[in-house]
Amino acid sequence: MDAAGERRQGAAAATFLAPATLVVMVMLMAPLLLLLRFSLNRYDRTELMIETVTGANYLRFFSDPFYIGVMRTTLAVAALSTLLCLLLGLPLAYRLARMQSRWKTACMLGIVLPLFIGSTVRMVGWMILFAHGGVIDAVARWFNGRGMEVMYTSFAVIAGIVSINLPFVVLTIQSTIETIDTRLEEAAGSLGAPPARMFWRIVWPLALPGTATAGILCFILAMNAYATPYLLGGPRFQMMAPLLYWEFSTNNNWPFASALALLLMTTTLLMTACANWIIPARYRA
Amino acid sequence: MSECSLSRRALLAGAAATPLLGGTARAEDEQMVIATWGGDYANLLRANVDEPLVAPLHIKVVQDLGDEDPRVAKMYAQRRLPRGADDVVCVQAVRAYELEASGLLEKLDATKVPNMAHVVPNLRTDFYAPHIYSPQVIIYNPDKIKEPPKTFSDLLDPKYKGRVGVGDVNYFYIMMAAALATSGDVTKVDTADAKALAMKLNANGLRLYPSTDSIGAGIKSGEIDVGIMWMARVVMWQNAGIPVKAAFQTEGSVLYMSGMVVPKNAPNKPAAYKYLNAMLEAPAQRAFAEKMGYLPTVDNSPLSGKISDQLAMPQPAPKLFMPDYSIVGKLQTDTSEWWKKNMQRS
Amino acid sequence: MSRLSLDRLEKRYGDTVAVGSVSLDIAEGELVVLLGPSGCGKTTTLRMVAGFIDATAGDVRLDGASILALPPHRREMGLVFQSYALFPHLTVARNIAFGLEMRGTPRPARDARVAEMLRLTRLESLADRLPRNLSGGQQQRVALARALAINPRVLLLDEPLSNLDAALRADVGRDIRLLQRASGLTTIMVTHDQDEAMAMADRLVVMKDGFVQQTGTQEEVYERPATPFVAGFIGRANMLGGALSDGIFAVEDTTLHLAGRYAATGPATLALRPERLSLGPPGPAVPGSVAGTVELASYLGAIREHLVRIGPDRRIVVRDATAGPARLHHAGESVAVRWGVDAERLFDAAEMPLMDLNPPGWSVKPGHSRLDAIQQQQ
Repeated sequence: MDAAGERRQGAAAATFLAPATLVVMVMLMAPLLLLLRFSLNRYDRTELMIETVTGANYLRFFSDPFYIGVMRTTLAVAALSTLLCLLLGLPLAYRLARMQSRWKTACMLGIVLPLFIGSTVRMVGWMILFAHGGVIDAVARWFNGRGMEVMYTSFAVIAGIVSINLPFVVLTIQSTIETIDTRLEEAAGSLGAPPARMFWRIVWPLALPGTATAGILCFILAMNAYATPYLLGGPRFQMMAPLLYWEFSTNNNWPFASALALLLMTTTLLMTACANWIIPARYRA
Repeated sequence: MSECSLSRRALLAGAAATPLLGGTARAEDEQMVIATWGGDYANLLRANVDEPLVAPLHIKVVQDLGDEDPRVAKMYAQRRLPRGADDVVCVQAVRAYELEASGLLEKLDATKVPNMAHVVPNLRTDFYAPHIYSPQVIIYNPDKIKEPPKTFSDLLDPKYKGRVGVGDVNYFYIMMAAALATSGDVTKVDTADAKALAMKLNANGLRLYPSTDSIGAGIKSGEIDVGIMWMARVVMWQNAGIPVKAAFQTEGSVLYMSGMVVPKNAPNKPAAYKYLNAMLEAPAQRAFAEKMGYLPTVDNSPLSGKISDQLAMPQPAPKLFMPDYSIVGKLQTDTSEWWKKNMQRS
Repeated sequence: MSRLSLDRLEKRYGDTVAVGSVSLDIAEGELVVLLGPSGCGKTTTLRMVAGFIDATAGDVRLDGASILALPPHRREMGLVFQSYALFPHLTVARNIAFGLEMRGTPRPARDARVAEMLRLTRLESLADRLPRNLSGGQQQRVALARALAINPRVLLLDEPLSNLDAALRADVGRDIRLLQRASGLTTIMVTHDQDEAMAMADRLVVMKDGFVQQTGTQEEVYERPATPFVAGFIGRANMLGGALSDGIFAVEDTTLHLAGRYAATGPATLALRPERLSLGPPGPAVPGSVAGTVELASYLGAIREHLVRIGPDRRIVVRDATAGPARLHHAGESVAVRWGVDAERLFDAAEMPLMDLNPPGWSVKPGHSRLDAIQQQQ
């Protein structure tokens, strides 16, 4: 094809794609811009929101140790549950990817199936398990005579988030490991690498792009977790998503809630960018 | 929880739309929307108000179910629209005063709601139709507690450490109880004394439950032995077989009240008035007392049988306080902020 | 340098036999090629030796000691994969150093060994490249260098040349052979390509359907194939099924006069090497001849190839060197195809080779037909 023809085709493609791109951009950007605009407004108890341009909502966040603390808790919970998801997910994903037998389909189904059940419903399952007089408490009581309080602890929240995010992590990593030739593992083995070293030296670096994607996905989900901290963490467990919803709905403070939403998003994006930056360039997907 | 309630609401919106499309409603029926809590409350409304009292007036009632906070937020969001979504909105008294202060509520025309005349005088306002009310009491497990606590301050006793539970959602009523205990005035929720008392309770291992129902579950499972709750819930839990009894504080009890308002931009105000009137009818009021343990807000609905025993006031008669919501309504935002930052700290 | 022996090595998957009772002794420094079509069990055998597949029965011994219980990483085998299996995230030098790192070889010794391997495989200038930036031949050399770097006790080559251009294959094959010779490594190579096998092996093991058909040198398997399959798979052969009786081999209406004398009669398979056949003018039905008509004649440079029809639907290929005195026949020409004892191999119905009963003196040097010998004697 000549250059002119190529240009013509490019222009045609752009013409066809333009409306779709525009719609996506508008759908994506408009709420964000609206949020940004709201976050610069001032809250009033009777008027609700007074149009102005002020940084007071952001200042309030940064000057109050309470909000900084909530953000810190959110980051810690997200980081910890991401770490746990990766620690649990990597071996699972590896076993799954290298499985040959007919069990593979069954195991895949076992991983995917929880995704068909809403996360809130699964949380109810955890609540039954964690509750006072629940399974864990009863078993602990049988051992130590005192029982164990799990409900409304950070442990319960992290366990809940891990259970929700693990399938995503396993499936993401598994699909990457599937692309790693098993001959590489055999080659490493024949060169004298025991399985653990083989995994660390060959599979881990090659699975890194997928693992990073899985980790980022898990981190974003955990940062924005709402139902889990609300239901399993209880009123005393503060994370950003329930906090900003509370500011929005209970206090009707839309400007501050908008500021919190944008701060949460920005922090998540920053952390994600950092994670991407840490991964060596040659491993990037 | 938003995910759950959102999807539920979407489902219900769909369900609500079906009769319109299906044409099961009679052609001459007009329609109105009531925004309310789901669960027992909505079911009782349907069974005792919507169907027996409102439907014969050729009004088709559509329930818009959800939590109170999003319901109120929606009213604010729609305040500038000429026509809002809801005709009647169910809210707690304190929220009604807050909405009134923001100028969102229609002044109720008593001539169009004849039953307003029967409303207990000190509950009556011109923008709020009180539906049910109940005194806030100390609740306890009689199997575990032989000598029930008499005052708010009794809950600070070290023997109750980790054994007291309240609903996080009821924070404002807890603070009013603290105000009553410290100053004798329920409106003094923002005083240092009231806050200090609440903090002391917190320091004694207070358990905060995310919902009202989970307090009952806490008593049932033995997680807590004592709590602060409405009398109505005690009746409901007793009927459900939970070992729980009520004790009136010597300093007095705050009255919890819930009712209905009409937004200024309600699309069908005549129907809304008819609905309020139906809700205040004696049989409907009695049904809520029997099923949910709330006291009727009208004077022409006497109770009898088991429920009258369960709701019977002890002698000497306890002191009951209806808060001046025009004062406390203004304190709600600050109090919720304070509660979040101080009481919710673990 | 090690001696490797496979003792009745067997692999079954349920009722399916992948490898059936393979026994093989490989001397120190010997290069044995497992040769056969795909699915013949040669790769499975190699993978059992490497330790990637557990044997169902039998044993693998290295210098007399069984290694079957050892995991792959303790078998000390250098393995070159068909796909090379170079570590894509490591440079050429790091790939070669990998096995040494696993062995805990100290840095200076490791560097020296890597440098030596780079020099041996002429990869010095590519040491810092990543595998994806190398050509196929270069990758192959890296794979070899990586396998050899650890001084393995046995070298295993899995189709090492099949991913290379035809033009490169012979060169790289020779390189491998020279390196293997120089290091004196006991080697098993697996291939489906008989030219490759013939060029590189000390000894061939021809396999089919999981069983060894024949083990021997190139000459043995070529000159004295043990089964019709080997005769057809090693080199080329005109395979004819017919009936044998008293020096006559009848294929339906066509009669071939055999060069040798055979005691047996009945159904049999005749294999004739095309390059050991010659064409001449039609003549009497002497031993080692059949009459036919040229259907196709091709001049292929080093050789001539004639397709000769010997029956209604029966053709044989005749090839001879263009350097010889014969000429290219043209299509339609009537000819007699002639051959000596060394060109023919007969198998009975049980696929067992039939022996020529002529006294040894009758057999003549390859390249001369028996007819010539008779004429000379006369």
